[in-house]
Amino acid sequence: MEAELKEVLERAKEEIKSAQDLEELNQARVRYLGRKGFITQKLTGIKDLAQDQRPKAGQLLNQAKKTIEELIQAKEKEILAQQEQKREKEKIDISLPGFGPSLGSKHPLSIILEEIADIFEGMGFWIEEGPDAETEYHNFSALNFLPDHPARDMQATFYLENGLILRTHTSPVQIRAMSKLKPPLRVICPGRVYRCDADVSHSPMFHQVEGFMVDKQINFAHLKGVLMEFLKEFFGAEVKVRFRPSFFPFTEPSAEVDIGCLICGGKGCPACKQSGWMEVLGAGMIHPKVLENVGYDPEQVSGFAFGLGVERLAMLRYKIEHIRMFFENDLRFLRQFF
Amino acid sequence: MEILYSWLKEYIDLKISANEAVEILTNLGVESSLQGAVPGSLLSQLEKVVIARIEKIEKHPNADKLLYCQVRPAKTAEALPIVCGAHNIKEGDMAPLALPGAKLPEGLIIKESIIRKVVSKGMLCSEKELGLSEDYSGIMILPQTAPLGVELKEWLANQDMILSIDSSPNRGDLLSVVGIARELCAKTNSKLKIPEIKIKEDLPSAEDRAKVLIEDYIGCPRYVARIIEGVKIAPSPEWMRKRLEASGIRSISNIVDITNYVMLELGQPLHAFDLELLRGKKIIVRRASAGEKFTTLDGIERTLSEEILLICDGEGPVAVAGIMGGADSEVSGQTANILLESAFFDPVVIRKGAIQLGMQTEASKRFERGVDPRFTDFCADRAGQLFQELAGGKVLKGKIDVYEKLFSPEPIRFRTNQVKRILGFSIEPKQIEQSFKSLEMKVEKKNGEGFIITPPSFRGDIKQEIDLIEEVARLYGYEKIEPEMPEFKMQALKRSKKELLRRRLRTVLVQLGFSEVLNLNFQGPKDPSYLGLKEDDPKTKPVRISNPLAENSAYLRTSLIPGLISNLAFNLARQQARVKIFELNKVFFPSEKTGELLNERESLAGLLAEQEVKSLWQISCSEGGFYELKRAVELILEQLKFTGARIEPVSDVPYLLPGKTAKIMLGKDRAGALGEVKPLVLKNFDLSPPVFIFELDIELLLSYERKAGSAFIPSRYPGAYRDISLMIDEELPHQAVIIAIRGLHNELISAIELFDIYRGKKLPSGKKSLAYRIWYQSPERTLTEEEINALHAKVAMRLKEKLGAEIR
Repeated sequence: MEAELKEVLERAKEEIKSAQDLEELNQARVRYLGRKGFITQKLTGIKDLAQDQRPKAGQLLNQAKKTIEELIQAKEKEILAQQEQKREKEKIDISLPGFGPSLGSKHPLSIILEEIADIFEGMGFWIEEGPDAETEYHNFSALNFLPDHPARDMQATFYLENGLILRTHTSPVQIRAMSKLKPPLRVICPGRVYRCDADVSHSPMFHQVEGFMVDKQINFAHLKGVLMEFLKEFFGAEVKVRFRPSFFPFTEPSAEVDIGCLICGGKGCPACKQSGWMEVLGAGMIHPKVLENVGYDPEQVSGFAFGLGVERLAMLRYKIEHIRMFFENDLRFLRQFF
Repeated sequence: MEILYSWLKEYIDLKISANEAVEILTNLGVESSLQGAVPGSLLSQLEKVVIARIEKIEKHPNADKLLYCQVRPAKTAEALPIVCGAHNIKEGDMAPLALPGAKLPEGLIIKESIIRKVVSKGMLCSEKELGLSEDYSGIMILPQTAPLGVELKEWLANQDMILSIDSSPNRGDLLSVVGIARELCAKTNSKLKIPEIKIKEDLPSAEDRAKVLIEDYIGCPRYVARIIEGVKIAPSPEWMRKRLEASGIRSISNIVDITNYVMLELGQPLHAFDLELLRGKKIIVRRASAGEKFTTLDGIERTLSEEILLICDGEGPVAVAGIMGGADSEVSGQTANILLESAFFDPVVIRKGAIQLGMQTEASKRFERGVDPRFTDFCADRAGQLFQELAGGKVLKGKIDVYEKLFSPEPIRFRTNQVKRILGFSIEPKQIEQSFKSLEMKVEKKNGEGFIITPPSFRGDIKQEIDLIEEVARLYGYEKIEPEMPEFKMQALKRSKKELLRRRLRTVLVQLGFSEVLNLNFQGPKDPSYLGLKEDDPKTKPVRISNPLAENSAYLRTSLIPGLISNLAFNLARQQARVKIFELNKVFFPSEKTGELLNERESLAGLLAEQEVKSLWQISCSEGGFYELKRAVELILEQLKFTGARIEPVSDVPYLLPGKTAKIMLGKDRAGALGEVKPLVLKNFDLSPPVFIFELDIELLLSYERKAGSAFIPSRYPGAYRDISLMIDEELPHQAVIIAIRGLHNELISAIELFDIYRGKKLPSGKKSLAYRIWYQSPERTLTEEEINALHAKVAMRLKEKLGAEIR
């Protein structure tokens, strides 16, 4: 048997050596190590041998099996290496265009709206929504716009035939949310707003995000803190921010917030009218009269509110000069956003 | 409001540059900017640009569009030949001339050159070429007073600047030079220099010459009149005209100019009547009677209502109070004696009147915002002084000053601790007191708590404690308030169902290749009929806007479809071969009852259209478009777990082809539709088929319970398939095959895949052949061949029985 084994081993060596590919190698493996292979057969035959021959035969067979396995493994590596070498010489034109389904695009204003919401939600604010067609009470009176006051000129209003108006800002949602809920409140209100002035730089409809926070002991420093946090997150940590006094009927003290001009970096250019600053939002402490109007006690709670122009932020982010780009819906423009 | 900076400087005892003033004002909340200010960095670039005079202009001998000029660059120099392309110049004009060697900010280097065989020794410049503005419409023409031969940069540096102020509507006091000066003084703790009044009064006294009677003290709480006799009408002096013109007010005559000048200076609108034209030498202030007619200075006859406040003489109206005077009592070249009106009119009355008459004047703007009710007499004196100085008038003794009760501002309690509570910083009471005093407020200490503050009469906007808190913040400086993050108790917050759904929908549609569009919420009167809607369709009853910008945007939209189709037209016109868009937005329907809010429904619509293009991946759009959209709808419903949703044939959508329309059903409710748009509808938008759309009512989706269900666990045992090809009636839909097979209720049938549809000559007419691959798989074991074959035979039998299918 020893001689037979030696001969078989020689044959196996030869076959393995001459195998051209993995297929031939596998055939060799089956021939010797497979279920019906020579070595396997012999190993199962051990039990028919005399007791004293068994250990020796087993040892020899296992030795042979191991040798063949090692040879196959080595050959396999060799074949794979050869194949690899061949493949390495293959070449495709990787500059040909890729193919497959195309993605669509999200409207840039949706992207900005979602981002604004994400940042404020991260700070613990939640979303409240209100109707586009509002009552005069929610849009003006409750927000401390006195009747026949020139402040109303700040917001040219569309009137509907049923006595409602199209909201001129998202601030009425403040009134609705505060009337419905009790402090503490941390709310943002995104939505569409309408002004009936028509010129090149204005659209009769645009988007705003109103935000407000009401609690015991909320003050102007908090307003600055939250808005600066937002602006840094939105425009980058290095953004320069300026708060300056302003006037809105529903906040006092009121502020206008500017960021350092993104075009010239503050040196002055046509985009910032040489001032080095660009206005991004209006804000202030909620006027005590407004708090009273929704049934809160202004001696007990205080709050801040702010209003962001979404188109304005999108124009700054994407360096877009004309607001009309957002509503023309030119696919060549839209497809770049997702 | 625009004012010359040099004018403002006369009222402040302070050496600050115009730029510093702008900065201080901006930080006080007075939006301001400078016009005509040229930055120093720019000035230094304007080397070798001089002020020159254009002596002679001829046509260029060799070029029709060019001029050949003689331009003198200095008093003693010879005129230089200059070729010029702009035609806005005339002989005698002063203009900037760039001499050889000049390097202009725009990068142009000037040298002596030959232009069309003619020598040109420099260049006349436009503002754009000098970097001064974007104006390149012509040569920059300088005033005649510009000094010949002086370097332009030197002259520019010494030009007076115009300070432009955009004050907020609550601050009427800032519509004057003195008002602006006051703010600057408050912040810098300097002294305001109010003009000193020196008048030499003569007898008789004013009261002997005219009478003033106020019938409506609500509309007119105070009326002051001065009488000036023997004025000489003439042009006003140069300095006054310059100041008025810089503020955009046309110079008329010394008398009219003085009233305007004092209005700009002190904020009090004045009116000068020709005393001799006031019948009965009388002023009566009263409301108009309804329908009363009056012709204003601009020559327009106006019909008045009872809300309008009138200034009348003994016989009838002579002015609309606070808004505009009348032609009959106007000061003219013949005027010698004047009644000067300085009054306080009620802001609301003036505003209502101005709106009713559609007139916004410099006067009404100031009255609406509130003038100083305690300053009325001072302003009359100031005008009297100027009449005396500049028109040689005799100011009669005394003033007629009519009022019921002089206005005195209410004292306001101010608690020091409110600064910390509202503003978030601490400040010494002493500093607070100082702030109030610098704002000309009366300060009384109140033990332990704070102060009692009485604001000055010109600050009508300060009515309560919060107004005072704002003043403290303003003077302290917003920039100095340290930002701080608020603290609060955490709460579990999840986005609203609506917002979550919106985000999912956008994501799914973008993944499917749709681009999101946003259209305005307006529609025109024709939009519903363009869609072929029937009259009883609620979409034909949109809500109308009373004051639309245009008729084609006079309604709130009831459908997203017209917008999408317009977007398609827009993009096809821009050579976009494939348009696949969606919009997620509100549509609006009238409220059920009057006085209620509208029925605002969030809606989703998508559109797909493809022009004939040859490309690798092209599918035939006339068939494929429908199924591409259907896939989108299926994925939306699947991904969002609307498990019970069905897509069923329907033919009642007015703008969709009846044979190519499906409705989207959620339980018993119809959530939307999809299909191919009718060619006649497309014709209304000048488009041609095929165009496919879908619509989904988001409010309905939101109302529908979504079942998360349990997750599908794939079998660990292999599945096997058998193909089957069956011939059935053309009328039978694919869905019938599915229903038939599913009707076996055999759980081992794991999938049914349609892989071919055949129609053709080989089949009898009215028949089609469908080929399916049916998968068999058990979650518990490997199925045997015999089992599978038996089951597949059952399927074939079922199809024969239920559909009369012929198995091929």
